[in-house]
Amino acid sequence: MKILRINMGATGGPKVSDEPMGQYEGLGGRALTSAIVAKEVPPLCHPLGEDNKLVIAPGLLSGTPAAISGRISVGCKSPLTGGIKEANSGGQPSQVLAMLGYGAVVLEGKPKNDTLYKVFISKDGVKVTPDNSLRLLGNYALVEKMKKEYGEKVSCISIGQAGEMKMSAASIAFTDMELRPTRHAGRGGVGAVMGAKGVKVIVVSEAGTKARTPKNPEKFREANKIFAEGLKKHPVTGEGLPAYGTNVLTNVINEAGAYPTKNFMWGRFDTCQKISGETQAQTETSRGGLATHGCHSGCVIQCSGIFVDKDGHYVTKQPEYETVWALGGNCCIDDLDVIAQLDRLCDDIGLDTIEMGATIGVAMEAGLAKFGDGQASINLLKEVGKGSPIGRILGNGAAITGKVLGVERVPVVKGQALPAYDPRGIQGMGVTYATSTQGADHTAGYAVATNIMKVGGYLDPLKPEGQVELSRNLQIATAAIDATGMCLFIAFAVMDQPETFQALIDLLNAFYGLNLTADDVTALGKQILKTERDFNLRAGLTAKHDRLPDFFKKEALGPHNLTFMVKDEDLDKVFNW
Amino acid sequence: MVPGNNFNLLAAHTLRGERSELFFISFMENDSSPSFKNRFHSFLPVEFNLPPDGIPAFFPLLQKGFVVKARVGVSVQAFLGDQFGLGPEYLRDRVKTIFLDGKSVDDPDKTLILDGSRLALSAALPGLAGAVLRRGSPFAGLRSRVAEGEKERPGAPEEGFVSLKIFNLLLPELGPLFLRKGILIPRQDFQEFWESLPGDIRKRLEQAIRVQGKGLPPDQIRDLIGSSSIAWISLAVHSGS
Repeated sequence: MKILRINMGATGGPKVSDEPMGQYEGLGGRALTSAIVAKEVPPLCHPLGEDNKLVIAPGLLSGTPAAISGRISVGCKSPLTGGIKEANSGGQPSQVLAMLGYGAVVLEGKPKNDTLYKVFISKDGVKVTPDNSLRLLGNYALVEKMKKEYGEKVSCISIGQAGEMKMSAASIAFTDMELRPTRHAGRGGVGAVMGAKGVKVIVVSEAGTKARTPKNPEKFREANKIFAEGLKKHPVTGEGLPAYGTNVLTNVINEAGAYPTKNFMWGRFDTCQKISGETQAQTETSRGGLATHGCHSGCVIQCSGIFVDKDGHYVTKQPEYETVWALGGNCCIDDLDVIAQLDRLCDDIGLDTIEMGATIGVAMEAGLAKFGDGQASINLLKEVGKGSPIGRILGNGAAITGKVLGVERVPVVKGQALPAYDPRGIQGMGVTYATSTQGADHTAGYAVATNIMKVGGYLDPLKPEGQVELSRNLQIATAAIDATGMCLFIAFAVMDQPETFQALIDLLNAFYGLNLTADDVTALGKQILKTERDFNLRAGLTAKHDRLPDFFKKEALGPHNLTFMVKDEDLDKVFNW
Repeated sequence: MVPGNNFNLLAAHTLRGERSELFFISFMENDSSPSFKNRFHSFLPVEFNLPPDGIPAFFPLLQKGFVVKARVGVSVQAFLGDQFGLGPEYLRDRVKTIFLDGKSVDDPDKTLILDGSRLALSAALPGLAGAVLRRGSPFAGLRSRVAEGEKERPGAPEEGFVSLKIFNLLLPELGPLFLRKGILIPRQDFQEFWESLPGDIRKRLEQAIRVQGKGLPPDQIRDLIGSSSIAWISLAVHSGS
């Protein structure tokens, strides 16, 4: 594997160079993006300046026949949080980049003028071309244009208008198996950094590529078989997710009283069943869409789908739980068709759906629109795409919007919006939201069995110390999985089925000819977090940033009437290991 | 159908909003009547006879919530097992997430169902939150849980009404069972459900409906389920081949 570096600020125009992995050998995904950012980016640099770098890295097993290994990580200094960022995505580019032999693509420097570039990567090399005809295109129109130019055997990594306008909620789109820009590295404003580099799109050609070859093909095949069977036989990855997608969570989180509603004012949304995964799947299938579909080749879980309108026309991919919550329940909108339109707009403009849902919720509280008004939400998103003054404010996220509009209840940590689980309803989620290196992030502390991972024993689970311990262990495990390129949804089968976890380690060992153990995986997770924490400290993020907004401690959330009760001093213990 | 003393309170339950639901529960708790038999007397009996592929049309009602009459003062396990026939293996292997009054249940054998309880049943779920909320989760420490300890409460009312919700994979597995036994639905919920049905499905249900034992033309069905003098629908769905 090699690293592709494109210096966008080089004299005479962008300069391309390949180099061996060198000191980064053995790293992939989040481990690689965070290592490069931590080592090469000055922590105090401006996120949109020439010193920041945008690192796009396939996972360690991407490009191999390993099941569900096509996740890709994007890293940089975040314009939203001011700290280190890793946002990851599904889609096709991870598999293709890895098959082309790239461990990472690094965009460096900054163009001297506002010329917009496209990058074409194939087995024959890399070409960077100025193309101002792409300016202010949405992701859908952009991809159509690339298809005409390069054919259908490509995948695209691109930004919409929000990225070009360097908005802090801007995402980077990755095309799916149908060559639609529906998969996004959403969080932290990574799209703004790509915009600052002057790169509108990276087109990756799959022509002439083939799957990467394992060191031990026989063992790899056997491990992959056990791994895929483990995913298929587990009720979450084999039944629940394929049938209903992640939006299966709506009814249950609502029942738990942890479904943030009306900008985090309530813990339940009365009409949530109208936008639940169960209703969504039934709506999709009855209209001729799909309720079971993969986001990248090699996915055996198939938690996505295709959302079509009443006439059976494609609108968007199946919106995920966090999207349905953000653009739905959080804004008191209970219409799946409206939510699908909002999701499509976010994908097209290139915006993080979680950040935008939280932002619209804040704007609604400020009186910019009424809660429940779907058309008003659509109009607000269109303002972002146009870059009008109010659109520029909204496109910079909930924290900026709250400040401009004078709203106190702004659900952010380190400037990044909280996702779809109220920390007063599920207290432990708040520990991860507060202390994650990424800002409030629901994937930062994911579900991998602490006992299997051997990253710590149990403390009394009813004491805050227990929650801190669990959150720490989960954050370590998540960081390790993010390095593999595996979808985080493998966590369930891995948690419940030791043989599936062993098969994951066997896959890595058979592919790279290693002898990793569970302890090594844990050590990798710890190393990633240590690297990220160190960068954040040097960037000026301290313990006082590891806090939830005040209102979570002061405003009780119904129906259980709870505030967030974990003490600050306990939050400060999360990274004591 | 003459509304009784409870009519206004029951109708309040049909209004949207958490408060109305709590109101209903608090009404149940404060009711000093020795008998529960009259509580739901302002209901309209509605039955359907459909082939099995017609049953999923009713699943939105089961997600939203319904009421069953049952023996209470017993454990969740006894409630679901003895009275609705859910075996211990099914409860252990399929019903992975249980909420009682909005709080996670870890041990259904040691958690009491009371008159007015609100019970929700789900299969295993994805995400950290899904793992945290799961029964017996190693991450149970990240959330609150319902009080445990009692298997039975002597002196509690023998018969009561329990609000139930069924989610996701359990809908096709448990839905037909509860629909066959009969459930109570707030009339306004049923009206909203009926009006939201796609045309072809509604036509099919119009042909299969029996109201108080009789078939009715579509406009009369619409008028009846839109009648504010009715607080509840007593719904039973029978599935032939």
